[in-house]
Amino acid sequence: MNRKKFNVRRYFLVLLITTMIFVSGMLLGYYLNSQKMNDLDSLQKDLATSSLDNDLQYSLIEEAPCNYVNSTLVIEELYVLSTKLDFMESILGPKNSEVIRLKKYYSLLQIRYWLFMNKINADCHKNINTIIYFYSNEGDCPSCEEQGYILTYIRRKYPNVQVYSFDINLNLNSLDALKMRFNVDKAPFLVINDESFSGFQETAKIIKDINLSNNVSIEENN
Amino acid sequence: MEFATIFIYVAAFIGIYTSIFFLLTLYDNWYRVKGKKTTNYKTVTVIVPCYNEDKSVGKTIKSLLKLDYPKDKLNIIVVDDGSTDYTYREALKFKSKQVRVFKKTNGGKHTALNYALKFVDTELVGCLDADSTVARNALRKIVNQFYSSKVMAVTPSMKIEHPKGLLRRIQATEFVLGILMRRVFTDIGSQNVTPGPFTIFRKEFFNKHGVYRKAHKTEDIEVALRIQTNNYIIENATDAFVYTHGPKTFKSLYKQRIRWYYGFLSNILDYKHLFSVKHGNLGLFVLPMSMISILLAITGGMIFLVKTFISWYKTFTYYYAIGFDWKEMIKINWDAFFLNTSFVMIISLIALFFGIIMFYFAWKLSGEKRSWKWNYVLFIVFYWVLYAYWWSSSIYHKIIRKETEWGHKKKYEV
Repeated sequence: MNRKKFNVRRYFLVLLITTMIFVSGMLLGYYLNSQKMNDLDSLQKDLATSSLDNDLQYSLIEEAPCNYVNSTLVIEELYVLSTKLDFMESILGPKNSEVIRLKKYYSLLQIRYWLFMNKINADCHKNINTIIYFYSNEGDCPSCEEQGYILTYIRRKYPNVQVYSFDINLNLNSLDALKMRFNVDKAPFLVINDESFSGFQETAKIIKDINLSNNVSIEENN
Repeated sequence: MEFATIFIYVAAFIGIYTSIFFLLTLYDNWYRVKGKKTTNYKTVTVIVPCYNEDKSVGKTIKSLLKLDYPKDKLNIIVVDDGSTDYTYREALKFKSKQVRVFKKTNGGKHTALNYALKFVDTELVGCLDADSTVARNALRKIVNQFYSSKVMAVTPSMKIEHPKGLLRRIQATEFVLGILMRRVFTDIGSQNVTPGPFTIFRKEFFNKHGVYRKAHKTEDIEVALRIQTNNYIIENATDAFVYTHGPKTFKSLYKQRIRWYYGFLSNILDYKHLFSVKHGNLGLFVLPMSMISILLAITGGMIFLVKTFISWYKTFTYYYAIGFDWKEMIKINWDAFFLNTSFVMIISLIALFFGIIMFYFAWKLSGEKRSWKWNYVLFIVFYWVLYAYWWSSSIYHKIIRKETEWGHKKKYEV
């Protein structure tokens, strides 16, 4: 037997097995990722219910509604959702249609909740600071990643600061209205308690701006 | 799609393909690993070329004298290639009817081997570097494999002696994998190296096709390619073990590898006619695949460097952004949701899995008793980075035509 002989059938068989393994890997990845997207979807639906619940509760309770509204749960869930969405975007890519769909829905939830927080702040004299952050993932905002780190850090450290982040490139009418309201021109763009700041902002500067707009120092989370 | 992602797909596909091919070949030929009982003790001469090896030459000769082989069938020729230390004096201590000792002016390992070949009158001849030793039954196992007149050479299985320290443990793992590779290459008639330590040849080959050549200081690659060119068989005695000292320092290991890889590349270019349908598996699979693996290693190394740099930069940016707040720095998110389930990750894990299976069988073949898990982890983490670095340097040497040096200026190395 000539061992050197090139056995075409053997090479083809190995190619077939390797391709099958590759396709199985692909299917497994697809399955796991779609499971995660389903999780996100149901998480968002739950959040929509909680958010609507808050709105309705506020409108229904005529006497001293401020005493009954529990706002911290929703924002925490929004943050969890945002981290998970970012993660899925990093795996599936920013162009993935499912990612875009979930991000749009998430943005709407955020806008609704931001409006609600504004109402609470005004009516109940609460001292919740809000930062709206516009970013871009399309490679045209090199400082957005670092700006994101800073804002995540700030919201973790200061519990009375809430951060609402929006992808500037999402095609949503209400997001356009929000951008128009604050004259958003490019990413990164921050709105700290209704005041607009274009371009990258350092941690100390953001904290200073929050304090200035409040006339009181924000409290650290221990 | 990012270049790095495409690269991982291609590298993983080739890696998995090769692993499956090797495992199937191994499965088909597993029974051939065990040698038969020796009935025909052929006459053998073992040449020990040495240069400044007074510390180890005695041990090498002793291990040859201890071989479980009829004394009247085994000759030993020690050639001192102009050493400047006490090598000759040490070798003379063993001089006898069975052990001949010569001294000549320095000319390189191939000249020492050719010098000894003139005195060889046995059917088989081999070489054992003066920093290596052999297992007692190694020669019998090797001689058993000369079952046909077409078998021109039989290679042993090499191991690193006393693998202590990071570099030697990595080399030990590499050699264990080498045992499996040599086995598989034998089964598809494609061995392309006949290692210096204890490959045994038919003397007839040197008579017919010429003696050792300088061959870019890797005469063991050249002679294997010459055997392949002439369509002879290179067998392997998987259970014949040879122990060699791996370089201890990074620098000596680097020099050894540059010599090996430079030599491999140069010899392959000299024997480029082997890349042909006529040479079957060797020409169409083994040699092209070794070229591809070099290319993948270098590209992978570069991608790894760039990616590591970017990742360090990002981590630093993050730490800087949060004012180096250590409480935040050590926070880890344990949510299973964040397990990376991307296709790149899944396919990389599959490739790693096949790597582990290959290593398991290699370990089985090597007959090693020690646990292999940590060695494999060290190997996975460090080896391919070193491999990419060695290959890049060797190609650089080849391009600028800079001749390589022996690993250690004082002596020959494996």
